[in-house]
Amino acid sequence: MPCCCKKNVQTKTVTLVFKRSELLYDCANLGFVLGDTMRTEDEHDRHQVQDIAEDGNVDRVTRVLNLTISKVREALYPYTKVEAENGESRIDTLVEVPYYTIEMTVPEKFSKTTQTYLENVIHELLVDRVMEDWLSITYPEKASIWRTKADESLRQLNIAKNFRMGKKLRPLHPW
Amino acid sequence: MARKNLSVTLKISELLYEIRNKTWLTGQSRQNGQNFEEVANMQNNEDEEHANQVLRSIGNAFATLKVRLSEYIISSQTTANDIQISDSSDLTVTLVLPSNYNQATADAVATGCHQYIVNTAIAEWFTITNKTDAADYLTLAGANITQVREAISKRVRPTRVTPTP
Repeated sequence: MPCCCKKNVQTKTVTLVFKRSELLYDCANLGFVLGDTMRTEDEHDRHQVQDIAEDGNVDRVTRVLNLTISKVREALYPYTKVEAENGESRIDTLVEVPYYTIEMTVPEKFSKTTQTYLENVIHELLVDRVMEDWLSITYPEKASIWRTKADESLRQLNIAKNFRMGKKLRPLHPW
Repeated sequence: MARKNLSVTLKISELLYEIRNKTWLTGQSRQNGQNFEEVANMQNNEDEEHANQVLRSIGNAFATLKVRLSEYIISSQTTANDIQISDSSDLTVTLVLPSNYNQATADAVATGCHQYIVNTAIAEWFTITNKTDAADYLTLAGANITQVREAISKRVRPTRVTPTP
């Protein structure tokens, strides 16, 4: 039997879309600047940082993007939950999609500005996690900066998901 | 991201000419009026024994060059041999480079490869005929390979593709 306090809750559906090419561009651009400002005479070290979105390397980036988008969906669980299907099986084949989407069923009072904020925070989180991972391999001394940035983006996401336009009303209980 | 192929061709005639010219000039400058035989020996020429030695050295240097650049070479070669290279076939290597490779350095790659082979071959030649100068050429060859790797490692900034509406 459904909970009686939920039956009058109005919701709406919003979708956040993240274009893969935009994410890769940001990662490649950051990688280029990081490599360019690297204090080294070794061009090999430099190009490894800059080649973040190149053939082969981009597969690792895709894995991190896929993982992070899953984490974001989990972080937004109240709005993103989808019931698992009976007998469903999953395979870990690398999937490269042109767009990453997060479909959310949000309360009616959910603000458009919050949607925009979430969109920007999640984009930042995706880029930060990719940079953290890539730099942990190619430029370890800089990885922690990006880990801090990513953790902060995730914290902001967790705060923002509870923003509302109006007062949050708790239904009265007779007992 | 589509890779960029850079095909580098080293003309064997250019390599041989530079090796012979450099060793000839070195011989000329080392003349003291009494060392005629030593000078003649250090000047590499087209005689069979000279040509064979220098072609062997060029082949060795080219093989080493490919090792140093192996990160960028894709080969499905399943057999190998030690046959001396011919003086009529040019040396070619195709480098498979990332899409953000800066093609402005392509000439530097080709000239650096040329210099590496020339200096390595002269170092080997002088190890036999003019030991005093051999180490200098090895040092030069080392600098050449560093320059080639530096040139290959240059990257361009990514460009953003403006989304179509």
